[in-house]
Amino acid sequence: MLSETQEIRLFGLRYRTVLVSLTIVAFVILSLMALTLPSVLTPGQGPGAVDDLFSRFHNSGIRLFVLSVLLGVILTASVLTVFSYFSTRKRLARIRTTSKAILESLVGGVLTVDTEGRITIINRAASKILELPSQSPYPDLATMAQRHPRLAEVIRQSLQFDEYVQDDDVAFVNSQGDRLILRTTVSAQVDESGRRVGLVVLVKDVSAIIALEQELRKRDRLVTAGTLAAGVAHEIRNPLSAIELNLRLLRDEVASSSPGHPDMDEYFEVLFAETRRLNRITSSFLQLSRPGPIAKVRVSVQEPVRQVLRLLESEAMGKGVSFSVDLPNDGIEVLGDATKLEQVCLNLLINSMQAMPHGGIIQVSCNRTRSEAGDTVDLIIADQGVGVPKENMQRLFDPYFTTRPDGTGLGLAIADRIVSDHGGTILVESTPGEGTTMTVRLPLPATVDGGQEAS
Amino acid sequence: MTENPNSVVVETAEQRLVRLRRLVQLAPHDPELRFQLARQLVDSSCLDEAIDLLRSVIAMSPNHLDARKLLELGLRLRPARRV
Repeated sequence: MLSETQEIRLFGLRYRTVLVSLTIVAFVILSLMALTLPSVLTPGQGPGAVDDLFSRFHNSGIRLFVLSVLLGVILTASVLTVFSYFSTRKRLARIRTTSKAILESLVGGVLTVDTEGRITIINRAASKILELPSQSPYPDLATMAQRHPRLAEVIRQSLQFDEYVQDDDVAFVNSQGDRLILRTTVSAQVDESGRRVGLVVLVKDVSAIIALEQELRKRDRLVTAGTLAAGVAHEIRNPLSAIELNLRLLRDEVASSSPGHPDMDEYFEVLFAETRRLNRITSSFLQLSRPGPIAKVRVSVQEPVRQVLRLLESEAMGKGVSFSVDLPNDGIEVLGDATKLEQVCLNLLINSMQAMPHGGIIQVSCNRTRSEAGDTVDLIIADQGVGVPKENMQRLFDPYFTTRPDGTGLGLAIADRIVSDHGGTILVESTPGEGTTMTVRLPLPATVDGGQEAS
Repeated sequence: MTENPNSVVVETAEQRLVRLRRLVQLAPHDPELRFQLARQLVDSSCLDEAIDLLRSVIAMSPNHLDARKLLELGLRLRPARRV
């Protein structure tokens, strides 16, 4: 569809063309008719020159007129063709510029490949996301397969079997080592006759969206868990005490009525162990369900860390764990609750110690960072423990997720919830067999809630 | 004669200790009850018993921040009281 401005321009062009054509026709007719006038001819030549030139037509005015019109039409067609050529060229250039501008302004990556799998067009976003050159020569399918095996395979299959994909999530580790999730759609690129001339590949980096979705799901689970926890803990605790008491009575009764039964002690031990486990779970439930209001005041980040390190010193020593502490002397302040932050440090450090059954060093450091999101402070706890397997990374902060038989799976969930309540986040990097680094990233006061400090 | 609804029955430290001991006896594996008893024992200067109890609380619930803090306090107070 043409816009109003384009219509006006087109009208102007047609008007000019018609005007020029009429002028040409009139000029040709007048010129040829003028040739028949003796006064126009050069002296001595006479009408004979015209007779030679138009031997068949000079006697007939009608024939001359037909000839004039034919010549006029030919000339008009030539002029129109030239006009049309320039106008089409101009329009094509405009369309190309507009298309390029649209392509380049797209947030998502767009690339086209021909039927041989060679890239023909790639926009800036695709070049950035896929880390491919934005100018030709572009890589072919085989070269692309080295960096993007899954994407190359999707393209190859689409070309070979005419099977296209929509919103297929493809993982890709970029040169910075970040794992990206690329949502890919491949469709056929057809010409005017409907013949396939290649493929259009749309690539969108949805890593942040997926991370956000996971975070929201996690929060939902936490809220649900917290709500359930209070009720469950209260409902379970009282009958649990009664069970425990009656178990004791039963054990005493059994011991007095049939003494010396070796298996009986073992049965009771199992029952008591399970009761202990239930007790521990209900206590953790209550901790999760009673996060308490966070009194946000200016607190030094280092102080809760130092306090918890003091608390854990002797226990760590007994387990062959030592702390390597690098905390700046000047207090880095955040808006928060010192006790809650102590709980975070405790849970993370306990987690690190539990991951190091043979001892080792836990490095604790703290520094300011600056990012697009604002100024933050990073509290880093790096252990030399067993590490977290890749498949467990996503579930690490999920309530009740644990790999230890005696764990409740609430320590990290509680830490995550507290940090989240402070507007922060916990980042995890881990190499199985080498250790785990947990980074508690908290916003500095200027960036908390748009700079408004809580009273 | 009606009982004043605003009157508050105050439990003495001794009564509280007895009640908590009984509760812990009934449910010996409840870390919260143990912690409550330990706190009362610290208040009553029964530090050795409180420290043992707090250690058992931490063994049951390693993330119990208050128990760890109270244990540290108990350990700091114990030598001072002994002198």
